[in-house]
Amino acid sequence: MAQESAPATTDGRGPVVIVDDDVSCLAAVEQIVRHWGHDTVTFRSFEDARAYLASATPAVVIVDVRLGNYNGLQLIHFSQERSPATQWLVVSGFDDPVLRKEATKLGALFLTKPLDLGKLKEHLERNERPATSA
Amino acid sequence: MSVSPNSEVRLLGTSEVVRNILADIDCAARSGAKVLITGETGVGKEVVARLIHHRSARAAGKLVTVNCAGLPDSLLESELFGHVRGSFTGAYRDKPGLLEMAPNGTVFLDEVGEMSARMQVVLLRFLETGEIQRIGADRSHTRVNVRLITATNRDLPKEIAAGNFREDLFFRLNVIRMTIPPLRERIEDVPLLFDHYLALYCEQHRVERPEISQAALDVLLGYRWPGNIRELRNVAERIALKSVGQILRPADLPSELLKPAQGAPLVAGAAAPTHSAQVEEMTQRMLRHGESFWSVVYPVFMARDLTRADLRRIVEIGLESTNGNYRLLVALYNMPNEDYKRFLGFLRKHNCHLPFQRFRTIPSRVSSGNVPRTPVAAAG
Ligand SMILES: Nc1ncnc2c1ncn2[C@@H]1O[C@H](COP(=O)(O)OP(=O)(O)OP(=O)(O)O)[C@@H](O)[C@H]1O
Ligand SMILES: [Mg+2]
Repeated sequence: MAQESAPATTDGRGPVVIVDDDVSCLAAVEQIVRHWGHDTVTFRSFEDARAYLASATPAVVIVDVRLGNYNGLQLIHFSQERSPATQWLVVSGFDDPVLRKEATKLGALFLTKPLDLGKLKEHLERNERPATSA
Repeated sequence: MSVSPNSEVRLLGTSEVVRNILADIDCAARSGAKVLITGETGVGKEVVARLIHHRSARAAGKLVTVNCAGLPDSLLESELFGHVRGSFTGAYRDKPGLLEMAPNGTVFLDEVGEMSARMQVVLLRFLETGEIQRIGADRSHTRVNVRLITATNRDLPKEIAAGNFREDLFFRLNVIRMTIPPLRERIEDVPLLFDHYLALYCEQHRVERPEISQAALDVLLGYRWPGNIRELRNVAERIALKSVGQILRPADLPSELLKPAQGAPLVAGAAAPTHSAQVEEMTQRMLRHGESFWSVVYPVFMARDLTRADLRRIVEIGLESTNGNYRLLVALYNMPNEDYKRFLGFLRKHNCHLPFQRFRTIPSRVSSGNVPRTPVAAAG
């Protein structure tokens, strides 16, 4: 469900991109994020998300660590150069110190499930402000 | 002067698959994160690992390759982490591990799916601390700065489900995942690859390079290439060694390329005598996945878990595909040419050496009806 027409910006008002291969998780997060007033673009597979990120520069991406055969962190490596201002939230079902460290090194926020909604909201609001030069 | 390993590595191909792989290699090279490379045997996993290293910021450092298959635990651990003198019988002196030998470089752990449960734990710990401790060393930990690239032709999620591979280790290794598709999924690269290797080997063996006939090309394009690019490379070399003359015709190609029609079961259906699922599974592993007779059939037979009739059937299947040529059968079942005698000796000992004559009457698709020549024939 890549939405070619979705505005892809880093000016703070673009959609929040959510990537999770677990449909129920994806739906739940999408619903909450929409409830907070953000537009969303969702992907259920690594490949689709990757195709989207090949041309988009979203403000925020929420990505699950587990994406079928892939690790969500790979999406960060893939699009970091093209889209350095994107804020990444990495969500994981288990707290692995090594993965946490790697996510942090990439400047991403590492959150474990169940999601701390307060943290998530705060983070989204912070990134909603027009990005000052990084 | 030794050739820089850098210049040896080539990833040929113009297919979209190859273009994507090259893009992924660049992405992986820039990132510095751990990479897990998966794909069938012979698809070029090691080539990809080398390219990632050589294009990365670590290119000035070393690339050290460790094959995790076939080494007993203690040896693999000492290879990777080193040991101190006297830590086990045979440890006469201190020895640094390979992880220490590539400071600011890359360590390529090949066939990581073969690691024992214990070694998986050792590796997991290393990933967490970045420190190594030589076997037998009391507390001296050394911090090392290496990048890990791993490869396997196993289906790791399946191995995880079967309890053979640790999920936490998988997630740590699988940060950047590169899946290399089999050659049959990028068949359009076959002409280029075959041309390249045929030219290379003809030059190496100083024989005239034949022109590839359309019919021969059709065979190459219709074949499934279970051993992928390594197999293609071997075929090119066998042809160079045969010095076929000015034109390469289908009859010059190894018989396994001519036998099974594409998509058809490898073992001819209706006409073939029936055989057990075990035989089917074993032949598939050898013919499709490039595993060796010595690892697939031999140990099972010796453990009496395979009947003599089944072993005979396996030999029979091989002879059917090679027109009764035992030398080709040795290659077909992925044994080195040198094993020819040992293999026949083994069959004779267990009374499974079938006379080859009757297989030569099977009409082959090779128009001349010639018995295929052995691949080991010396270049004239
Ligand atoms: N794209 C390519 N272009 C040219 N040569 C290639 C290519 N890919 C692989 N090869 C050659 O094919 C052979 C097999 O490649 P490689 O050893 O990298 O495979 P592999 O996936 O590691 O196999 P295995 O699983 O059996 O270890 C090598 O000789 C390599 O040089
Ligand atoms: Mg290899």
